[in-house]
Amino acid sequence: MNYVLPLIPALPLVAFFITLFLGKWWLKDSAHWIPILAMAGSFVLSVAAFLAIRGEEHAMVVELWRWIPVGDFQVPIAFQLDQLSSVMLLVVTGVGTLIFIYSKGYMHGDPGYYRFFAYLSLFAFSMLMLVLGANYLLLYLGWEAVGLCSYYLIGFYYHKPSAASAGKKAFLTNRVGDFGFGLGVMLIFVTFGSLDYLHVFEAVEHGGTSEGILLAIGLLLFMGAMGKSAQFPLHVWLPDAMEGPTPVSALIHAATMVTAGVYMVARSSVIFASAPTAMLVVGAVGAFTAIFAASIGLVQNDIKRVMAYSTVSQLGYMFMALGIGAWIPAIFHLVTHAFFKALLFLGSGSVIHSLGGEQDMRKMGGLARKIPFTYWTLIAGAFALAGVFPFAGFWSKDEILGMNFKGGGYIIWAVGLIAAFITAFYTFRLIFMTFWGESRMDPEVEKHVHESPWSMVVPLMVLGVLSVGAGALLGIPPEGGLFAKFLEPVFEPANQILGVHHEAFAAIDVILMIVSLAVALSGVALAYVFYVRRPDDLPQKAGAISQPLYKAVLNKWYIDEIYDATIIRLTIDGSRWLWRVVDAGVIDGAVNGVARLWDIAGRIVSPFQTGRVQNYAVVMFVGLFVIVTAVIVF
Amino acid sequence: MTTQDLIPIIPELILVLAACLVLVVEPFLKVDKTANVAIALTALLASGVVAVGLAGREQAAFTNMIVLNEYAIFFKVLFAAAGALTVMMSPRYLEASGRHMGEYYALLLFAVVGMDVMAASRDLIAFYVGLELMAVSSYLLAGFLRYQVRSNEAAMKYFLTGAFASAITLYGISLVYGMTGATNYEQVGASLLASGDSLAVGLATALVLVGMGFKVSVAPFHMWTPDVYQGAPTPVAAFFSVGPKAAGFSAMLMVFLTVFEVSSPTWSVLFIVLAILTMFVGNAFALTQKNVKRMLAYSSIAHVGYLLAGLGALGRSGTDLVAGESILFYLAAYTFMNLGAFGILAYLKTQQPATFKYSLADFAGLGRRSPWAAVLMGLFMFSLTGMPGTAGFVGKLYLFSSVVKADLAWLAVIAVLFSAVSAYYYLRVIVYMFFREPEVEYATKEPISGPLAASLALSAVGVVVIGLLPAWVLDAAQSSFGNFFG
Amino acid sequence: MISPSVDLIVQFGLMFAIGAIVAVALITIAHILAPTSKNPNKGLPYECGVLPDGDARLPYNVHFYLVAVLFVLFDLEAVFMYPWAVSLAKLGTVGLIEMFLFIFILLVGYFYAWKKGVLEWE
Repeated sequence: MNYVLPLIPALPLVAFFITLFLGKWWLKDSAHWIPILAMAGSFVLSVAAFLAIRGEEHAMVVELWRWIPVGDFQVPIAFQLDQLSSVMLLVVTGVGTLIFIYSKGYMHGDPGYYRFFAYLSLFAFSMLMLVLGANYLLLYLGWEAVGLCSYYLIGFYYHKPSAASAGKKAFLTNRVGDFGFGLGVMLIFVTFGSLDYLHVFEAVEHGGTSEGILLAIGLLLFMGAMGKSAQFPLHVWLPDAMEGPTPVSALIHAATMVTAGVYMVARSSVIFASAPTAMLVVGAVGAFTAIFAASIGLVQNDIKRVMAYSTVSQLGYMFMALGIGAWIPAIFHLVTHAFFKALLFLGSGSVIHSLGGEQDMRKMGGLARKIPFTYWTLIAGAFALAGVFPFAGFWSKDEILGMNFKGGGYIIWAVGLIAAFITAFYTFRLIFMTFWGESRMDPEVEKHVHESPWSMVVPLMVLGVLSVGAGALLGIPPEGGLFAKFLEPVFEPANQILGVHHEAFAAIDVILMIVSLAVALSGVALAYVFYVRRPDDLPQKAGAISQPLYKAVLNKWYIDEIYDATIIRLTIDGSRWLWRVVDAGVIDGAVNGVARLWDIAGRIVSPFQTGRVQNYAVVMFVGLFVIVTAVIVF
Repeated sequence: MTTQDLIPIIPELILVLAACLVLVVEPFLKVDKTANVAIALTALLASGVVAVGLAGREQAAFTNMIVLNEYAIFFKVLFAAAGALTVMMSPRYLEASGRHMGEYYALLLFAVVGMDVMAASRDLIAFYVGLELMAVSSYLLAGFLRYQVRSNEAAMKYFLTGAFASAITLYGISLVYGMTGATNYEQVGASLLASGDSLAVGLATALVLVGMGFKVSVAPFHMWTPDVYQGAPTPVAAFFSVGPKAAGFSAMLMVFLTVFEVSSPTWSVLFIVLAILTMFVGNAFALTQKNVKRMLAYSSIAHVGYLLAGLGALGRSGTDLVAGESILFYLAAYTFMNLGAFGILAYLKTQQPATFKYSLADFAGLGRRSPWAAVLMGLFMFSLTGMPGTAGFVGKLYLFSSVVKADLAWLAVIAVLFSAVSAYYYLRVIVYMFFREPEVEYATKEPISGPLAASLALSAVGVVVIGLLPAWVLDAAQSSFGNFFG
Repeated sequence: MISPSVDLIVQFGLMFAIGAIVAVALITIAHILAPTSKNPNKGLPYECGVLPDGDARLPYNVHFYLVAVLFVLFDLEAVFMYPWAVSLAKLGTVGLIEMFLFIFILLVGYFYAWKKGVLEWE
């Protein structure tokens, strides 16, 4: 394992360098091979890592080298392999490999082909560092690095102003979260004198740390998670991030990077378990985001934006789970979500690809027969997202809702249930608007509709199979399936602090399952009525009845406008003031003054540098004389 | 002498033999000097590898004149690396200047031998012999472009002022010998310690300090530096800016800590004062330079100022040797970044048209003409400034924090302020390369040669690796300085 | 062993001072005493008469210097050999080998100079 583990992130890194340096001149249109192979290699190694850690009680830590030793501040570059990081490894490398293969077809012919694969490889490296790191500093570095890659990739079509500004928005919004995260990491170091997971968690378990500090750490860390995982109110960047190429949306903004926040909170489960208030905040923010984002998803017309809001909402579910200490269901939902959301994104990408770039659902329709592979795989993904038995999403979402109900969180359970209903509705709204009914396409576009190439369809089918079967395979029986058994050792300490007991599968679970299934199916049915039976009048009527609400939702609850009017305005005005008064007056004045001083100094000393060796000798002699005199006198 | 005595000097023996071999082979080579380049390079690599292989051995040889310990090995490896990088960047430059001769490599090897001896000597006489071997080779190297006035001038100035400095050093040594009747570091040190600090010891300290200060270009004994760097062939200037400096510091650390232990209050004050003066002079002159090569010469003086602050701290901190470790680390970091920066200059000289005179204006638009060179130059400039992520940052971090630990926080503040000033002239190069349009459009001549590219790449890798993973070099520095007295 | 004393400082200071004074004084005195004339013709080699044709300093052939330096080298080699020869009995075989090494190194130098054409007189 000592050699395998470092290789997992190393392979994509090597691929990144090769592709970056040789891509432009040598690899060109075959730039995809090295990254795909590297990613597949990482996947194989991750499977090996999974086999090695299965059933182990303790985490394995591989220390590569000490990094920056400054006194007490010792940060080793070390990797930690436990069940949690193993799951994340499998998701990142597995879904990653599929999306790399998909990109070969999707990005074909793009002028920045090699650049795209280089960035993707760099992202994979950073993400793997993030999940493998054995201390908070490595986590933080990986965190920043994935943010940077995300910024590059959102702005991949940098000549498009909207893409460039979306990249900027993502970067700035994440800064807010990362600021908190950074403070949290510092606070951890100050409190525990170490950043190593094992060391910190042991100290927390041991007790003696004041709850106030733990609460502060928890909230600061969660602030970072809110930024990266797009939780309200820092969710605004994710929908705009859809300006990036679709494989990027699938890999970074659905399956992996945005789940980093969930991973981080789950990783710090011991800290959160010791600070109940922080957990309450996590759960509340998660639940609110889940329903809030779902409501916006209802009315979006851009196929990718629907997905984006759905992602925000599903991430809310995960935090909702983390908030009640349902660590394993949260991670389970993370995994199934990675499968079906990647599938849905890639499927939408396939639709967009076959329509030559059209993203507006109002200009689609009737595509089911024209692109059947895409259609059928997307249906599987939609059922999974809607949470219909027995698709993958059902099992994980049901576990989250069930644990909320049984834990006494009835309000959150109800919120989650309503959000589930909305989810089912907008998911099938998307399916029906895109694939069913009459074609609303431009005639010119319609002529060129074609099924996507095999490199795009095969990953879709693999993900389709996973979306259908993975949930049942890993999640039966609920809270006691293979997945839960595998992950148990990681969350054992946190569960002990919380005093959670494992309960056997009971009648109440069956009832809850039936309830959530019913909710999901009624959502699907309502969508059917709205968009298949009476697509011409019902949606408009519904919109007209609830006019103010409809408008608010359509404008995404005016969050962007509020930000514009408050924070951004304030920042701009404040910066302008700073620029005029502080910068131009104080700083420039000081800088110019200093520069003038140096200029004078230079003029004073420069006559000595005559270029005549005699003078040099004289200066040396004088220097010697002064020094010797000084030694004698003092 | 016994055969055992030869073990500590195997790296030097390799170099000497290789230098002789170069001289024997040289008359048979007509135009293609690849064989000599190969010999020199192989010898330097072999010397470094053997030095590493000898790590862990503690041995004194030649009646305690030369020692083998981790300290000596650290410097032997460093010098071998500096020499090898210089050798790699030389052939194309010398060809372009029409003076590609094997003697160059022989002289370089001899200079490295001299430096090795300086670092490994435990005797004032051996130290002086090493110093002179290095110095005489340096004079010749400075004047290697015989038909260029500038090069001749450089050699002449270097020789005259160098002879002056050597005499002063020797005078100090003779005073010490007069007082103690010994030349061995430890004997002299013990004897001086027994008789206590006195004016005479102070005088000897001052004289040796001045003589050594000349070699590492401490203000006000620095005035030869810019002229020599500018006139000497650029790879030689690159070598001068790192090799003899590091050798000078290796000897200074040893001499002042062992021989002049008794007068540490005196020399630490002197070093602190000279550090401030040197930082001031180096930075003030560098600011006004329009010529990048001269700017780098002055900047190297400024870096000596930072190192002197470390030496001052070492004199103050007594038994805590952390300042010494950070000096070693800084020297290693500095070697790579400065060699790299000069290497870029050497490359540009061969690649750009004859009007290229290293002036800032010549750098305008370089980012477009030769992006790789510009990017690497940017990296080295960032490192020299001390940007995080580069070797220069970590070096300054350790050096200045060791100064703070010696209760000289004010000195560290001054040093940090000076290095903030230095950002101006380093970043100006970057501004010119990337944000200024050239007045005249040049056509670039020829692609970069393999060895030169390798040398630049290795320097860049060194800068980045030391910057990101400082623990490796730091461990080496720690263990070598920890064994310093052992 | 001489104990460090004030005497030494006095001696050192005297030497230092005398050296400095003599150097400075000679230049200053020459500067003051020497008659100066502002006439630009003063700068010419001859104030009257025919201007010289060609350089007054005739360069020697550089080979003279080379041969001279070589001579000094090998002369000194021989000088080293006298004390060695006297104490050879004590030094033994090791001493013999050492001297041969020394001669060999010089021989390499000699060979180099020879091949470089130092000894050829055109």
